[in-house]
Amino acid sequence: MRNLFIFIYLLLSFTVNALEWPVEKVILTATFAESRQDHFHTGIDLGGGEQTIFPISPGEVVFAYEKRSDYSSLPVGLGNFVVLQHQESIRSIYCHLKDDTLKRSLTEFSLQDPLGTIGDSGHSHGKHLHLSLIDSEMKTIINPFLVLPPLTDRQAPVIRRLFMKGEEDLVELREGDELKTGEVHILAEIYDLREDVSFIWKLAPYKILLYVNGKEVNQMSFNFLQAEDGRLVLSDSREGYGELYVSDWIYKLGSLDLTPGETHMQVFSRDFAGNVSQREYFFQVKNSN
Amino acid sequence: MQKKINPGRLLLITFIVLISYFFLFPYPLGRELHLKPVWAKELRAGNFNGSSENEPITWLKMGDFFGYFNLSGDFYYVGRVFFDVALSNTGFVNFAKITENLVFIDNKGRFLFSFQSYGYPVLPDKGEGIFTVNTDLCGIRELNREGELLWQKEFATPITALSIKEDYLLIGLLEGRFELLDREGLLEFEFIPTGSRIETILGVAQMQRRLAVISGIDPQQLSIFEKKDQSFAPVFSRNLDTDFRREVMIDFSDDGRYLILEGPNEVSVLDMNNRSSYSLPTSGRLKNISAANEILITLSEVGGSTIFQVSGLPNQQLYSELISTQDVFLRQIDEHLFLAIDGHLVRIDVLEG
Repeated sequence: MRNLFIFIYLLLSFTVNALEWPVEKVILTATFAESRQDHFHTGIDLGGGEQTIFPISPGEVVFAYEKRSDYSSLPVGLGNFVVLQHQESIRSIYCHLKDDTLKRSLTEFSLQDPLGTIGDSGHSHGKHLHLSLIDSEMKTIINPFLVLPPLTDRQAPVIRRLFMKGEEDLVELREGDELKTGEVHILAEIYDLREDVSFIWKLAPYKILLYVNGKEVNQMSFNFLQAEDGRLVLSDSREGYGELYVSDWIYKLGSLDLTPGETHMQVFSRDFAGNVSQREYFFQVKNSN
Repeated sequence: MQKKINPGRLLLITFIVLISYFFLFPYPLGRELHLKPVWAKELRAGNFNGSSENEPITWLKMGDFFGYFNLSGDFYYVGRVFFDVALSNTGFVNFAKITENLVFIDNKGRFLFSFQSYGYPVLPDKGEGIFTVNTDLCGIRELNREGELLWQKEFATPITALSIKEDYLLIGLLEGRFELLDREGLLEFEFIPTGSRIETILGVAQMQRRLAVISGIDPQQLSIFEKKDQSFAPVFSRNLDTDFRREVMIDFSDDGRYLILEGPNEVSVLDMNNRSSYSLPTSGRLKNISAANEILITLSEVGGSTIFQVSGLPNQQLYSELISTQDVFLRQIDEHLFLAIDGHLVRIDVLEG
């Protein structure tokens, strides 16, 4: 209900001025809520070299930082960055800007005013723009895909492997396996792929669903992150980083009490463009003793 | 019967009252301060054997150099910064742009321990704490010396200002709220300053039972909170005529008497005893402020040069010097000033009388 409210609120907020991508050539290199070793990726990354960055919507500067000139009481992994306030309480954050390109002479930016140039300042493996959207009133970090123009994407995510983890062992699930009764944790290796490169460049999917015997067991949607009890959680499933990720592309889909008989398990994964992939397994569960 | 007052006695009482008045309400006569250069040492990377074991050791950072020295000017360690360095009086973490394993080295250049971290380290000046800030600024955690997580806190908004003292962490957030956490990471106090067109936190400072926060745009505000009866409450609020859209320098003097905050071409000094406000003009972009022993030192950048300014608190301008480089380090310990300029570290004492 809360998510629906946030989504409607976002739609209304941006009805007057449609949002634009902040760079001319959109090359997506990382998606929202991906694993970053021990925390969620709180935005999206855009590559494409030293492109000029423009605001996603007209806005006013709230905060800016440049390592060469500004004081900071903390180490800034975002590198040179600027925060714009848009309609209502939506703020966009543009990070890792190239040194000396952040335009400080303006406080009000129109869609045509350049903010700076893509760089690799701060904690960055290469030149890219990290774009975050936050709602300072709703206290949420928003998946920018929810409000930016859609991207063309024809390739469905990959559901590569499923694992079951019992009390001790971790086994890869295969069609026709015979398993013993008891509680198991379902893990899955899932990723989406960039379409514009010939090598494997993994991205996070948008949704993951687990069905067992036709019933939905778990659903994860990477819409919003919000702070709850001092940690960031996905706003739909209330899962924090440690509850969702085993490692970078291995997700915890939930736990299951295996009972004797045939079990039908389905995993669905969807990207933001709506491409869906599915994997299903039939396996026999037998009594442990 | 009316008792006759002895004129001598009356004179004595008047004298005592007058003397008491001057003791109780002394008139500020100004201070006669002078600067005395004590030593100058060349900075070069390496391990050194500082000789005076009993003297406190402190750190310096200038450009690519950082290191440790004592009041006598003995160096213990001087190194080059990788990407950035977190420094405390007891040791440092010199870290790369992409972090995974961090190494804590003591102030004499000896390896102490290493720990895994994907965030950037922060070491409070005093104490043994090791903190890391998430590289997206949306979280902070404290680790022990084995690298184990003691606690962590994540936010749905970047941290814009941070003050870590022995017992508390004061954290300012982009969304316009600030939190005071205890050393267990538990929330002691939080507040959302209101009344500005755009809410955000631009600067935080803490001293004992007092918090100071600069917040908002249009208008920008200074708010002060004090702990009374186990809880913090706002005790002072004032609109500022500034329009900063970046972190602002704000700090208490070492004794907590004065609050020093950055202004446009000035430093504002607020006397916490009577809330009187003073202004000390500066030129250019303020780079560093330090207030100890009733002396305020500021460094500000003009073009490629630095203006070094010494003032007696609250508002007595004493000395100003243009230094023809923008890479200047300043550290103040009591009446001793340490300036690193052009590859040299200089000690200057501020003497009274």
